[in-house]
Amino acid sequence: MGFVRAVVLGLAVLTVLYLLIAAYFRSVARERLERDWEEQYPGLEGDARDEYIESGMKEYHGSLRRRLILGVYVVPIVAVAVIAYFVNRQ
Amino acid sequence: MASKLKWGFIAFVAVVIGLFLDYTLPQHDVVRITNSYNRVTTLGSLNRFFYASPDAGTKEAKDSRDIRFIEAVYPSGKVIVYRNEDTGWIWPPYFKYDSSNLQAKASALKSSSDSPKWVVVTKYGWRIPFLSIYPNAIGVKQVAGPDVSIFPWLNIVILAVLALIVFFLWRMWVRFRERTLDPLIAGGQERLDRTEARAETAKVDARNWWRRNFGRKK
Repeated sequence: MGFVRAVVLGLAVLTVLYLLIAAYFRSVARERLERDWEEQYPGLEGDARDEYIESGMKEYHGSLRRRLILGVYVVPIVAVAVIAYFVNRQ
Repeated sequence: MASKLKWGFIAFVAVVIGLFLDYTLPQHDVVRITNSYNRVTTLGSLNRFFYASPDAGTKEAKDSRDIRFIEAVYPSGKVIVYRNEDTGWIWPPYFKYDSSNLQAKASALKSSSDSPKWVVVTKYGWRIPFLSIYPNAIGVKQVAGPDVSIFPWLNIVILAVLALIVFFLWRMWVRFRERTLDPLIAGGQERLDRTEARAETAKVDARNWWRRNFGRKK
């Protein structure tokens, strides 16, 4: 029973963490695109800029960089397994 | 006054965090084991918090149960008593469920003062006699003598990871404030300014109207 509770609680916490970190890196990617645009066309705003940023965000969405955020789930689970192994081995 | 309160609060939080880490992180004792046994222990409301939940693999009554203890002596001659309990699955995150094995190991390493066997006990927690609180033994290993010292690599790694996590959370908060909160507040401020300006002109209009109609004639 304790195990089930730990899994449910752990997954809930990790999911909150995942959403926070995903939002953070999405924001970083968007800011990078905004800065790139500002460098190329200083002061220019409007549809072209929006389109540039949206297409850049679409690219980010499919990138390996974004998928690496799933490590938020992998790393703690591996850490738990390693700790459990070393604490309990003879 | 306000800044004194603020610093007092920060100091308080720092002390609480420090105590929490001191309780939870693993530490090493070099000791000689003198006895290992279990006794039925009934936990009170004050110290229950410092004991683990019942063993991971068994179902036991919550208030009164057998708890394994290990008695030991420091090289200085002072004594220490460890409890030896499963930590269960959640907190503290040691994921220990080999208390029985650990007890057997501790029993095998018992020694007398004539032919001492020195061991390193890895433990977390405090010994507070007043509350009947014991540190929980996590592992035991025989060492060459009473003078070995163990460099706390693991604690350094854990503290570094914690510091990284705190730094990252702080970065996230700063970003959230800069890119989400501030624009919201700025937008709200603009609206407020407009409203205020409108109110101001209305006031001026009203005053003029009053003066025109009821003001003293010069």
